[in-house]
Amino acid sequence: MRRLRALALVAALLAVPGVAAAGKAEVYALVGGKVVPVSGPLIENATLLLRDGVIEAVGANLVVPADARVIDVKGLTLTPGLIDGFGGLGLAGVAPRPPAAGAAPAPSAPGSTPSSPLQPQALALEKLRPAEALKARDSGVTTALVIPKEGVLPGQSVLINLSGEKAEGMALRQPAGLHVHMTSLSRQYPGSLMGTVAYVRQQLYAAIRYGEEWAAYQKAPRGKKRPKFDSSLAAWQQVLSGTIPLVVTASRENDLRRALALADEFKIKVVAAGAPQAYRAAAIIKQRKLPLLVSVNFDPPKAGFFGGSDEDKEKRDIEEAERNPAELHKAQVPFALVSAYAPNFIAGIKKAIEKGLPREAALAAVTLNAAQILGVADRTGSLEAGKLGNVVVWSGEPLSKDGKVKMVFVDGQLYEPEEKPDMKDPKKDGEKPEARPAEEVTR
Amino acid sequence: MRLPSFTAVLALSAAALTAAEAPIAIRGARIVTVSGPTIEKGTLVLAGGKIAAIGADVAVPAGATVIDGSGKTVYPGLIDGLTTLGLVEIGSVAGSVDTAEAGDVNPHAKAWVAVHAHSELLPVARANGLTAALAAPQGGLVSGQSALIRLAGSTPDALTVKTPVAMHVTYPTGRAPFDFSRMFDEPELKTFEERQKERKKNQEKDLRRLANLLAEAKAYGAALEAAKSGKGAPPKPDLPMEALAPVARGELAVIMRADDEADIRGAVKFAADQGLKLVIAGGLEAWRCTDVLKEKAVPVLINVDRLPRKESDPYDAAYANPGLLFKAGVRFAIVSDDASQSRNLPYEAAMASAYGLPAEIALRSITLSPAEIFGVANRIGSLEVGKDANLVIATGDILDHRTQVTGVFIDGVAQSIETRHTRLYQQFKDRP
Amino acid sequence: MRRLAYVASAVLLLPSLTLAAEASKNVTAIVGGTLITVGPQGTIEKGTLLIKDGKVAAVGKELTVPAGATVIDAGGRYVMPGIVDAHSHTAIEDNVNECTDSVTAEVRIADVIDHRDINIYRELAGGVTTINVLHGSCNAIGGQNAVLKLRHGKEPEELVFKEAPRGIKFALGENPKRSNFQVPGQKRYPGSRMGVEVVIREAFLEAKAYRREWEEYQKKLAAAGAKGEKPVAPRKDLRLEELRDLLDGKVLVHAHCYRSDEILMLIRVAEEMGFKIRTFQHVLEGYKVASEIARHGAGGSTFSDWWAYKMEAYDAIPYNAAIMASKGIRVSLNSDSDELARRLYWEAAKTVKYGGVSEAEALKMVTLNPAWQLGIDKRVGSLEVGKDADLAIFSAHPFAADTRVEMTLIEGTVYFDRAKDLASREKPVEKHDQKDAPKGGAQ
Repeated sequence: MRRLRALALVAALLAVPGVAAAGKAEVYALVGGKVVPVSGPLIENATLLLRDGVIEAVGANLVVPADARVIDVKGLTLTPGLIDGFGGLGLAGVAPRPPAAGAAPAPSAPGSTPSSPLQPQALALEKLRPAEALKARDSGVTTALVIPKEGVLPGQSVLINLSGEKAEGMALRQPAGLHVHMTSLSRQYPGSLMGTVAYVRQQLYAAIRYGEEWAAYQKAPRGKKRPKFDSSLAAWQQVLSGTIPLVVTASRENDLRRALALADEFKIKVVAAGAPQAYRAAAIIKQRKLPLLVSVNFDPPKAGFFGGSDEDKEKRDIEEAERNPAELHKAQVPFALVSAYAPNFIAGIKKAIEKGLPREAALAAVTLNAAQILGVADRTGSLEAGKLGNVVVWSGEPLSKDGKVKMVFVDGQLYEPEEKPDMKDPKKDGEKPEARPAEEVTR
Repeated sequence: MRLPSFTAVLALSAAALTAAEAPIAIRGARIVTVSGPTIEKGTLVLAGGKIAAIGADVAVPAGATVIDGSGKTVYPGLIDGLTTLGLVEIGSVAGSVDTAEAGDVNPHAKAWVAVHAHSELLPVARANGLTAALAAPQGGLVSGQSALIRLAGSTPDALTVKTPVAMHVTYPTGRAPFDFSRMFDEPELKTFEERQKERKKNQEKDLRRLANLLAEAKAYGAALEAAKSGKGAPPKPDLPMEALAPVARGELAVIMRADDEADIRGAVKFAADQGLKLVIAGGLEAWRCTDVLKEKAVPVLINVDRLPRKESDPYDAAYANPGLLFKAGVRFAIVSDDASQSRNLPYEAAMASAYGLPAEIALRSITLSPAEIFGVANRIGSLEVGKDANLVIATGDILDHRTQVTGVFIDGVAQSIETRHTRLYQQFKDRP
Repeated sequence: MRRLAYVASAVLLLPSLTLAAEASKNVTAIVGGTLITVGPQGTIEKGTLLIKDGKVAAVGKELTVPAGATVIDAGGRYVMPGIVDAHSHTAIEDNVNECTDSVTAEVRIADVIDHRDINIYRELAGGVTTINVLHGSCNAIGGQNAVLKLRHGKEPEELVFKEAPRGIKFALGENPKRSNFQVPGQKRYPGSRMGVEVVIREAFLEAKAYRREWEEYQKKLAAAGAKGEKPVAPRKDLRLEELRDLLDGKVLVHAHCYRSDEILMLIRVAEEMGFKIRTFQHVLEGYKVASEIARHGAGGSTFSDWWAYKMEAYDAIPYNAAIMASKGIRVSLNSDSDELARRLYWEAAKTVKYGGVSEAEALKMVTLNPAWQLGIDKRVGSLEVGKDADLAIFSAHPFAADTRVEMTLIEGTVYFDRAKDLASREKPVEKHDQKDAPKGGAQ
């Protein structure tokens, strides 16, 4: 209790977050905690130094610099900030569900549907609502890849770090990837999965030609008709040149094979997202080194079938999806765990752990593995000197039932989640729970 | 290429037709009575629309028209225990479809009002040995009342064998019924858990509705009875309640469509609670519920040519279903459940026999068993003296696809086995 | 005559028999059954069929079974070639139709194969070994079909019958004109049989223009030679490319049709545009214009006796197959249904009843004739030396009233074995796992 008060005092010293963020270089020394670097062995009674948004040093017996604000984290555990490698964080239309029964569902914001479902040129960055996104820090998320859920070609994702106030300032990688949701549209082409594959294939061929046409023109414009600019075909050039991957949302096992087929046909980099039954294709994934962003959204909303479906199979599919991360781990397939628009990311991770995924593997899946797949392992994903100051301080075992996020550092800036009431036992510790807004739920 | 002698077939029918008044004797045929032993070579005499005699040593009455049955097999006319024959002509042409009434609750809709005696589908079914069928309304919660029809006659009254046979009800599953107009809508996305909850809620709601309807009908019936014996004024006429009252009293059978194990069990329990006389239709997973079906003596009308409902089910679940019911002692009939497929009824029975049902029971399941379930076994379903002279003459095993039907008699009258199909065949087979 | 023929071929086969003995590990012998070869050898009672390396190595009476061969006792049973279903929609993931345009030649069934579709197994249990998986009939020119062998448990690409020629689906009549399913709020051309003709005609005019465009490019390219600047290639249009290849005779046309007028219409358009129709599918009024179909050289793939389900099926007669065959059309009986596909042997039997087709001819309608229609009759469709050892073993004659498939083999491998299936049911839980295991990509 005393320690908590001390923390509160530190927080108070930092005063208004906006002011702190705008202030001069911040230096923190987190002293006495258990550090789980993920990239290396656990360090007991360690010190972690944050300077200028970056991890300056981490280890036991470090000298605390004089200019550092010291925070005693004895008894607490430090992990890298969690990365949600694929989801709709901070976008309209993916409003979290009400946490308690009886609460009114949050209305989806206007403009939740993109203007066109076929827009490779659309930027998720432009749709990002920073204040919404920042809420995810409460659950220890410091970094997230964001792309709208709707459409077949929803555009280009942005990888954000949850610090700052403006979307642009949050961008860690922009664009992070060009996305295809392996789904179909209603009353509009492509109206079938095969149509979607054909559409993407046609787009890529058109983009190749577009690139050649412009290259020829740039090389010798004289005497040539000026090629028309096409924002959609221009968008594909980054995929064709290998600058960004094509991220394929694979809700079916064979969507993974479809992604690989596209990679082969067009010699492009692909990443698969979703993949609830990926373990069945473990051998191919391993052999082809297909980067996997595995969904913890185990029972995603789907259209019902007229006259009923094979409910027995639907149930089994959900159970298999829950077991999927554990099975992939057993098969030694590297993967990241992602929210994939799940209303509660952390609950999904915990479910995967409950179904057999070792806790350390789960932590790696939402930190270093995710950073590797997203191509940012050189700057984040683990607690190592030189990496971004994305750190979560936990009481209790991280990602366990008792694991609670006490402090979050993003880009070296401290954020403290407000003390949360325990839903099951509000009278715990004899403290009176505060009334909380409904949307204050981890995702 | 061998072509059957159509002229011969037609000649036989024509001869029989002209002699309908006189007794008819089919001589020297193999006679499969279904109710008793098969007579390997015998004679069958039809007189006054009834079967007058059957046996190995039956004398041909004087003046009888004699049909040489040598090499042929005679069967009782086949009965399709669930179809829409007469209620639909062309499936996708709304103007020719009278299978379902608007709205959800139509106990007062009566199939015999709308059976189309001149449907081209009736002769087609008849030409393959069917002589009677249960024409049943479908759709909604309470679809209406079915009629057992004979496949001969030029007015609905002439077609009618028995009305009403049963009240037809779709056991509520809580699932959204197939609706083409919604096929192209932007689908509403829900999690499996949400959909399951919703389904259960809808199912319970519909079951309550059904129970309320029955309670209301019971009260209505009681008030009507009381008024008849001078106790109180008669209730305001209410056609749906009037139609449902005998169902609620357990007098008129209710044929409930249910396929899933849970739904079949639910239907059996519901019927027991409500005191209904239940028959299950569909019964895809009846083999999983033989315990309750046997205990409550609930017969099942099964359509055999279906895919299993669950991926994890045995591949032959639907084919083996009748055999398993037979082994467990559950009564059943094999039905087509489709007007344009009625003619393939014997082959559904054959499929059941290939997957465990004894061949003679397979035949029974499309003759005597449906007659028993519908309470008309005293009149049709087997070849017995005194029964209606509904029979089929075939070149061999009627369950075998290669067998030709060469004669069909309904109430002792030889029926034409010419159909829309044979006519078009004749018209085009020699077109250069 | 027939007897002489097979004795002769048995003698001729002796050298290959010796070969078989040398590597008898790969040899399977099916002994003691009645072999319905559907080939020149006719039906052989108490025959022996030797399979080596997936091919039929010998068929005959009293053949020596090499030591070490796997022996399947077919005593009292009937062996026939694996059934070929010329019209299937099995193993398609998502929508069978790309319904949003009246020409969608670019979509490919091969992109959306669901190798785990349980109906693959169920159809094997009906003696089916090869299926022609077609796009739906929503549009005048639909997508590209895929011919599959039902190698249950194998990877999607392993199901593909690689040597089968390419093919495409056309559709005429009520379905493309949307008599039976109007998409609400969408008035799509065509709305009549007149419009269906226009759509097809226009598509081929466009394809011809596309062909010219590429030819001109090739000329320019040649003219530019090594020194000149290379011209930019025309746009690669996958839709038109498919139709161009069709005009070049590389794609088999499978045309869904019902009424005689539309059959004649397509023959006229095809002959004018310069392509061939390989099969008329359903072709329920084929009997009215059988001579015209025969003259064009198309096959007819029909239902045995489906009728009256829609206006254009009201004149359907079960004698259709018999009449078409009598005019020299190669006729097959198809399923268009996962359920009906399991009993195509009985569909064939119906032609014996309706129109007096001989049993030998009737069996061809579900084996050799559909194989010809798909351009794979050199490989499958009959039990002849050198052909694929695709076969079904029945408990009785395939037309008998109590017959049942006991075993189905593809290229010598047993893919369905009723005895094994029954045995596995005693342990239902394990059975499910077993079924899943070989299906996975992890092998």
